[in-house]
This record gives sequence, structure tokens and C-alpha cells, in this order.
Amino acid sequence: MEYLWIIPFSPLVAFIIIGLFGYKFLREPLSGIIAVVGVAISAVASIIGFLQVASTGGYYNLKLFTWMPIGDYEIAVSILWDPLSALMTCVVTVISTFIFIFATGYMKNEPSYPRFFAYLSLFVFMMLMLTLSDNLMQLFFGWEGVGLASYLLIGFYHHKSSAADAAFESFITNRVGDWLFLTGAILTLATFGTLDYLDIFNKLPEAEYWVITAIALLLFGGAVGKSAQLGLHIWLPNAMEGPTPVSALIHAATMVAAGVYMVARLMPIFASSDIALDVVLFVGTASAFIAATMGLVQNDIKRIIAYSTMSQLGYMFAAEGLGLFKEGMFHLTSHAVFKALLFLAAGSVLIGIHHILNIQRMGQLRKYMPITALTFLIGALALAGIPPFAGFFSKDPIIEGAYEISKAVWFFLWAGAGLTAFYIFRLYFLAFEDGDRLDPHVKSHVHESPPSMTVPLIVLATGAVFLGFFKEFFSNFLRPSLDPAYMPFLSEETKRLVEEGLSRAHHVHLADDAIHFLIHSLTSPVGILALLTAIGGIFAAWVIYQLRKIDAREIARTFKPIYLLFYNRWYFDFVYYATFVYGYYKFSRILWFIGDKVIIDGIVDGSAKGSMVAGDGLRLFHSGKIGAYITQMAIGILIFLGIFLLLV
Amino acid sequence: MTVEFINATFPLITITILIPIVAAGILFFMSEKHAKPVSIITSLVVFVITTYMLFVYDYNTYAIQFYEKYTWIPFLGISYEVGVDALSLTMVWLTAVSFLVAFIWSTNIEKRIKEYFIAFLILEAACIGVFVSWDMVWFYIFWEAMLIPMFLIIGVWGYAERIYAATKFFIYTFFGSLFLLIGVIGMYIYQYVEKGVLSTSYFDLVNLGLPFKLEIIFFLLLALGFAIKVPMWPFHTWLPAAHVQAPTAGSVILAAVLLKMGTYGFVRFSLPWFPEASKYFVPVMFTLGVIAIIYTAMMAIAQTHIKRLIAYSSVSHMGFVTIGTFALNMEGMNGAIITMLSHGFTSAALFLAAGFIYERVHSYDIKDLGGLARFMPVFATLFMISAMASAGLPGLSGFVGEFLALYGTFKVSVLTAVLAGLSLVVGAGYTLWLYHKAMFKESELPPEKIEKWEKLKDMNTVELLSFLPLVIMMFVIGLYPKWWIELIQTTSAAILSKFIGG
Repeated sequence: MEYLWIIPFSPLVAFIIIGLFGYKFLREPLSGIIAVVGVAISAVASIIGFLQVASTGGYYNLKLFTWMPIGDYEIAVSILWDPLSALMTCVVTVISTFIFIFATGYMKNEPSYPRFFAYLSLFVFMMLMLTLSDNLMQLFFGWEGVGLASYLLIGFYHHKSSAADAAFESFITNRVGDWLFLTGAILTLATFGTLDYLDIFNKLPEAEYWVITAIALLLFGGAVGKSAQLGLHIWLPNAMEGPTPVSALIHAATMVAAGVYMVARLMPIFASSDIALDVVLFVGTASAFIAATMGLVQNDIKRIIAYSTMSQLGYMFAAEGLGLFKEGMFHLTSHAVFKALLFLAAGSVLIGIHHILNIQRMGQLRKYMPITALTFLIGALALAGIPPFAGFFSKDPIIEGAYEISKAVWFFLWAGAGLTAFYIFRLYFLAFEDGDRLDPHVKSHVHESPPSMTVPLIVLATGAVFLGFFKEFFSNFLRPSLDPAYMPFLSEETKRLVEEGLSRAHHVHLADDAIHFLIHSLTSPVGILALLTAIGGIFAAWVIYQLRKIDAREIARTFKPIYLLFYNRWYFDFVYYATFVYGYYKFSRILWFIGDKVIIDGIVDGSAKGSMVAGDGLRLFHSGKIGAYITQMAIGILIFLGIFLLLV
Repeated sequence: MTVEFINATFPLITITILIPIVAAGILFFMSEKHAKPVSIITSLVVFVITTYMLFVYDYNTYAIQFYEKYTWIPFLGISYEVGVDALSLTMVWLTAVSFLVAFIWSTNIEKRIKEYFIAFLILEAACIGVFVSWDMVWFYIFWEAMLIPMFLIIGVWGYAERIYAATKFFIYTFFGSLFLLIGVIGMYIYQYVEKGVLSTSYFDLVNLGLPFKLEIIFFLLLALGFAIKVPMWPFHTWLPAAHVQAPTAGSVILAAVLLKMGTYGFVRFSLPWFPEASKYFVPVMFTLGVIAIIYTAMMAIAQTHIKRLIAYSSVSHMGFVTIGTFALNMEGMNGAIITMLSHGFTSAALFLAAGFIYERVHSYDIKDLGGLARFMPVFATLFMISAMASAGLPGLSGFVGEFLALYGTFKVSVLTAVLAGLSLVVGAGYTLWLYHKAMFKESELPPEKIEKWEKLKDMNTVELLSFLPLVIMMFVIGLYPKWWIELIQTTSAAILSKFIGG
């Protein structure tokens, strides 16, 4: 398995080559090609590794080099290759490959073309450092690294104020989470004397409950930031200022899922504390529902999908909080496929209609962009959870599982699913069907995108159709990483501890096999209800935005307070801006004036002036002549030496 | 504390101190046009020598290496005594790099060229002298000698309010060093009274076995001198004033080298000389460190003047050195030393960036700037790397030291570490704010400015040559800290020998 090191370093090499020679020699399209080759090599290597680990079921731990020693512990750059990291790595590299190919078309004739592909390659490298890590420090390196790449890519059009602002906001908001994460890592190191996952897991039984809880919650704080969960979510919708392939790759499929991956990676820690699991569950459920309500009333095509991402990540966290880690990871995988698809289709639309983002100014696009429309529809059906698309097989188990464990959680997840179906089909009908609202000038130019963009769409759409049927395969595949009874690297004691922690999910019996699950869903009340709700959401969207039987504005007027609450995103942005941005800045200004200028400098300069008056002769100082200074310097040295000699 | 010495077979350190002084002397009689090449070659020679020392230095056991001692005034116990351990050596090397960078950058100086370079050369000798001296008289001579050229650099080659800033700098630090002097003389007298020995050697003063009360008094006297130099809150206001007025190279040296003397003083003198007092003052130092980190981070974001912002950021970063030092454990000490080194490179780079912008746009006010990134991509990249290193991005130099300092502190005081960790947020806040306002944010610019920006030239060779070494060092430390940790490990252990018993 030595070849695994190729996976992260191939994009790094691409990044360095493009970074150094991009503008001078490579330009367009060579920079893009190098980036695609770099990530494709990773994808091939990780698929080989994936198949190997699927057949053997083992795990491999590769230490590449020591980064830094701390006491007896050595932090190493390393690779942990087990089913979980293999899956995540494959998701990242394979989706990246398609998005890179898409981007070579999307970014055509962009002056900063090389810069874009350099950043994208950097992102993939950092993301792979994160997924492949076997310790918290390398994870944090990748974690902050993807944050940097995200910052650079959101601010890619940095001459636009909105883009630069969004980039700034995303980095700072993420840093709040990273602060908690780093504190958690430090607490881990102080408690266990190691940051290596496997060693931590096996030392868990020795640690006190509240310490584990604190560690888990602090680390989860990082996940809340990175995965844009409620509280630290405000950056994600604004991150849509970045180019659309970036939104697809970083802000939908991979980076934002890093939090979910991290919690799954550290499953034994989280499972050892039911408070931690409860918090994960609560935050996930709340995000899933609230983000869905925010998505209902937006008009920006990318922002709607962004809120949807936040909401779906909430489902994944909820799954983890319920103890359904495999289901969470499966939803992550299928979400990565269909959400990347939705974003890329949106990107294809934007190229076609010259970057009009408002869905109220679109319409009937299916006529002009049939492939884009069809693939978007598949993505939307998958997101809405309609069988046999992937989203159904990955999302419904979470909702049905929740029913067995907590009715309240089930209710919000179920309601959120209905809203999801509604908002995504509202988007679909307004953009691709419905009346003719396109600007005539734009309409004359609308065209289907070139093959470099449609081919990735078709591939991803195929994935969104068929991926769900691999449910059983994924479940079995992930078992050695997420099912304590099968995890080869856990000690017996840790296994007991983890199994006890996951006992909340014990009476959930979901069919692993896709066909059985489908039959089960169509026969059980909960399954039927979930399905009917999804169809109901689509139906409502169809009635309102296609048939126009009900006026949407009428509904908004009737439920004005609720509409305003949703439209203003529950006032999170407003409050944060007032306190943390404007408040912090103004407070700093005032503090500077009072603290530094009035008080400290007042005392210092005041006493200095006092002594100045006493020694008026010091005016010589101000003569400004260099000769005078050198004389003074000489005199000073002489006086000093004189005093010194006198002492002798 | 017993210390081993490895005597120098060749007086390398003395030569390193003498080379800049001799060069300055020669320059005095030479014509102006030779000033630049002579200075650059001199600093290059110093850099080569110190780099050689860095690689020859044996870090497996603790010993003062390249040690030289010559008796000077025997009946007072004063000698000329120089040598390095890993702490001194890293600081000397940092000094050598910073001066090399400053000299390369200064090739565009036009005013009083000869005097400018003479002042810098003397400053270089004095800075190296401070870090290598083990005799307190020589230490103090170098410590004070450094003030005069720095005072002139700010006062002559500075901006509009240079006289105020230079005077403030001078009086402030001179005031502090007086207390330092009183403290050292006090210990000297105590030594004579108690032991009947007259010696100004560090190695004699370290084993005085002071009573607790005296330790407290001497600790406070020395700490005042060092705290002003660091500078620690609330003695920091001279620094923004000095930086704002200083010429670019002066700011580089001030931030990269001069600030380190304060923290060097704490590590070198306060801890080994006053172990009990150091322990006693841990809560105070932690509090001041946290205030420095958070409060000055807020000060930084409140600024519109680029250099004042960076100056405040320096104070904030020095807070990490303070808490790391007074964590009194290995991780904290390693973290403090690495932070000192790293801050040398990042702050130097940021001040170069400020100077670079000023030379093109003729303003330090972020309100006048914006959108520069698009027109100067090479500069934008290097500036971004420096900003990220300063903001503590893992993989670059800043993170290593801050992480170690935080971990060391965490083991002693969870609250301090958690609050100091907030720097991750507020530190990124002011750094990216600066970058955001200066380099991005184009749409608020009037069109005539954009027209002007379009004519701006990206980095030239000289600027690249001075910027690149710093950026390379950020990667070297950030990607492979192991080497540096191994280098300073034994030294940290020796400094902490009175606390961790080894």
C-alpha cells in the first residue's frame, strides 16, 4: 500500500507547477489539463486502494515523516487507510475529477484561469491531507488548509466587494470553530499524551467521562464551523460568491462534509459520551430544519442550493447523533454526488444566461438547455428523496431511524424533508419550466453548454440514479470502520464502551439491501408518510409555480411574520453583523481611543512633558542637524565611559 | 546550575561582532557610493558565519559553545565573555538574516546614504553583542549601544513625526534599562556582601541563591526593563509610534530583532536567576500575556495606518512568547523560542510589504488603498503567505510556536490557554482585515485610482530578493519544525532546570 502517498501529493505537484509556471508558460488550457491530470491520478490511486480495502477489509497505517516531537509523542505526517478514509478519499478525488473537467469549460476565457486551477489543486491536496490523516494535528492542518483554499476561492473575483467580504467572513467564522477544535486537540494531547486516533481510541476507557465529553464537544465546535451548522452557518450562503465549480466542490460535496467525516472518524470518542451525541443530534436536527425554512423563500439559485447543503449536512449530523454513523456516511456520499450535480447544473445555467442569479428572472430554460434541465431534475428528485434515486436510499433511513429513537427529532427531520422537496422543485419549476420571464436580450444567446460541462453532468446524474442500489455494499464496506464489533483496531474494553454508547440505535432495524429497504418503506406507515410528504412538496411547488393556481405572494402576505423570519434568515446575519462585526470594530476603535491614547499615552506623555519642562536644555535635540546628533552620540558615549571609568 | 563550556578554537563570535563595526569604520572614510555594496557584503559575511555556526552547533548536550573569555578588569571581576547556546544562536541567526534583508531592501535609500548604513552596521554589531554576551557589563553596553543608532534611524530617516517617535522610543527604553542596570548592580553588590566575590559573569550571578524577597525585588527591576522592550501591555505605546515613523528597514529590525531582546531577557535572565519569583509572578505574566494577545488584537483592527496595525500585531504575538515562557515547561519554552524566531520572519515580511505598498502608492492609510492584488500578483502571493503565517496557519511558521506555547500554557492554566487561543479568531481578524482592505476591495476605488494602479509595477529583483528568504523561512519552520525543536530542546531544558529538575 506504499503507493497511497501518491494520492495527496499528486494534486500538490499540480499546484506547485501551475503556481510557478501558470501565467508565464501554461496559461489556458494547459493549466487546467495539468490540474485535471493531477487529480485524476489521485482518483485512480484511491479507487485501487478502495477496491483493495474492500476485498481485504483491513486497515493500513503509513507514517511518512515526523513533523514535530512533543515530549515523547511524535506528530507524524501519515496515512490511515481504512474503509472510512478510503470512501471519503474516493468521494473527494472522483467528484473533484469531474468538477475539474467541468471547470475547464466553465472558466473558459477567464484571465485568472491558471490561478483558479492552482487554488483548486491546493484545495484537493489539503482535503486529502484531512481525509487521510491518522492524527488530529494533520487533520487540523488539512482543516485549516481547506479553509484557506476556500477563502481564496470564494474571494476569487476579489475585485468585487461582495466576494472579498464573503471570503473574509468565511475565514473568520471558520476560525471560531477552529479555535474550539484546536482547544479540543490540545485537551486531547494533555489527556491522552497522543493525537493518533487509534491510540486515543484505546485509551478512552481510562479517561473520565466529562473529559471525553469536553473533547468531543470542542472538536464538534470545529465541525459546526466547517460544516456550516446552526450558529456558525452564516458564511456558507455568502460563499456562493465563488465560481460555481467551487461551490459544487468545496461548499457542497467535500469540504463542508469534512465535519461529518471528522465526527465519523472519531466515532469512538463521540460514542463514549451520550451528551456529545445528543448535542450533535440537536445541532444537526435544528440545522436540517431551519436551513430548509431559509431555503424556501430565497431567489438566488445558488443560495437556495447552499441552504439545502446546510440542511442536508444537518441530516448527516442528526444520523451521527442517532448513532447511525454508517447511514450518515452513506448520505454524505450520495449527497456529494447529487449536490455536486445540482450545483454544476446551476453553473451550466449561469453560463447559458450570463450569470443572472435570480430565479424569478429565469424560466423555460428546459427548451434551450435540455441536458442541463434533465440532469438538474434527476438531482432534484434525488434530493427530494424520491425512489429510486440515491437520496431516497440515503436520507430515508435517517428519517425512519429517527422515528424509532426520538419522535421529536423524527418530526423535524420529516418536516424538513417536505420543505426540501418543495424548495428544490420551486427552483426547478421557476428556472426550467413555467412562463417566459427571460430577458429577450439574454434569450437570444441562451445555449446548451459544451461537452466538457455536460459530460460531467451526465456522469454525476448516472451516479445519482444508481448509487442508491449500492446501499448494502456501502453498509458492509463501512462496517470495519464504524461498527465497533467489527473494528479491528479497537481493544475489547473500548469496543464495550463504544457499543454501550451506540446502544440508542440498537432497536433500529433498517434493511441494508436496497430492494428490501424500498419494499419496507412502501409498506410501513413511517416510510409511506415520508414518501407522501416528499411527493406533496413537489406537488405543492408544481401547483404554485407551474400551474399558478395559488399566488405565492398571497401566501407570503398571509403569513407575513413567518415569511419575514425565513426571508431574513431568522435574523442570524443581522444580529451577528451588529454584534460581532460592527460591534467588535466600533468597540475596538473606542477602546483604542480611551485605553491607548487617553489613558496610557496620557500618563506616559504627560510625565514626559513634565520632565521636558524641567529640562528645557533638551531642545537641542530638535535641531535636526545630523552633525548635532553625532556629536550628541559621541558625548553620550563619552559620558557613559566616563562614569564607567570613574567607577573603576 | 552548572554549565559546560566548549571553548572556541577560533574567535568566531568576536569576529562576527567586529565585522560590522570595522565595516562601519571603513565606510566612514569612504565615498558614499560604496556604502551599499560594503554593507550588503558585510551582512552577507555575518550571515554565512552564523549559518555555519548553526550547523556546527552540537545540540545533543547543553553547553555554551564557541565560548571565549578574556579577563578585562580583574579587581571588579569584569571579563569579556561571549558564547552561544541554541537560544542565543537562533537569535543571532535571526539578527543576521534580518539585517541582510534590511540591507538588500535599503538599496533604494537616497537620503544620507553613508550615515544610514553606518548606523545600521553599528546596530547590527550591538544586536549580536546582546545575544552572545555572558558578562553583564558587556551585555549592558551592547543593550544601550543599540539604542543610539536606532534612535538616529527613526529620528533622521523617519517620516513626519519622527522626532516625537524617536524621543519616545529612546526615553521609554532608556527608562526601562535603567531599572535593569539598578537590578544587576544590586545583585552584584549582594554577591559581594554575601559571598565576597566580585563577578559580573552570568554564570556566577545565576547561582546566588537569593532570598525570596530579594528575588521579587530584582525580578521586578529586570522585568520592567524587559517588559518595555518586549513590549508588554501597558508599556507598549512607544512601539506603534516608533514603527509608524521608522523607515521600512528600521521597522524590520525593530520588529524582527529588537523586540526579541525583551523576551530574550525574560528567558535568559528572569527564569534562571529568579526561579521562585518567576513562579510567584506566573499569574501576573499570564494575565499580561492574555491582555497583550486580545487587547492589542483589538487595537490592531481599530487602525487605518498599515504600519501601526502591524506594530500592534507584534505586541499581540509577543503575548504568546510571554505565556509560553511563563508556562515554565518544555512545550511552553520551545513554543516561546519558536514564536520569537517565527515572528522575526513574519513581522519583517509584513513591514516590507507595508514599505512596498508605500513606495508605490505613497500612503500607509488603508482608506487610500484597495484592489492592489489584481495588479501585482507576485506581491499579492508573498504578502498572502506572510499574512497567513502571521495568522497562524498550520504549515507555516506562526502556528508551530503558538501551538506549543498554547499547549504548554494549557497544562498550567486552562483558562489562559483558551483565552489566548482566541487569537486564532482575532489574529486572523486584523491580518485578513488588512489584506482585505489593502489588496482586495476594488469596487470602492475611484476610477482614476484604478488607472493609476494599472501602471504600478510588481516586485522588482531587489524586493524579491529581500522578501523571498523570509517567506522560505516561514515554510522551513512550518513544514519541518522537528529540526528547530531538536536544536533548542536541550537549551530549553537547561533554562528550565530549576523548574523541571533536569
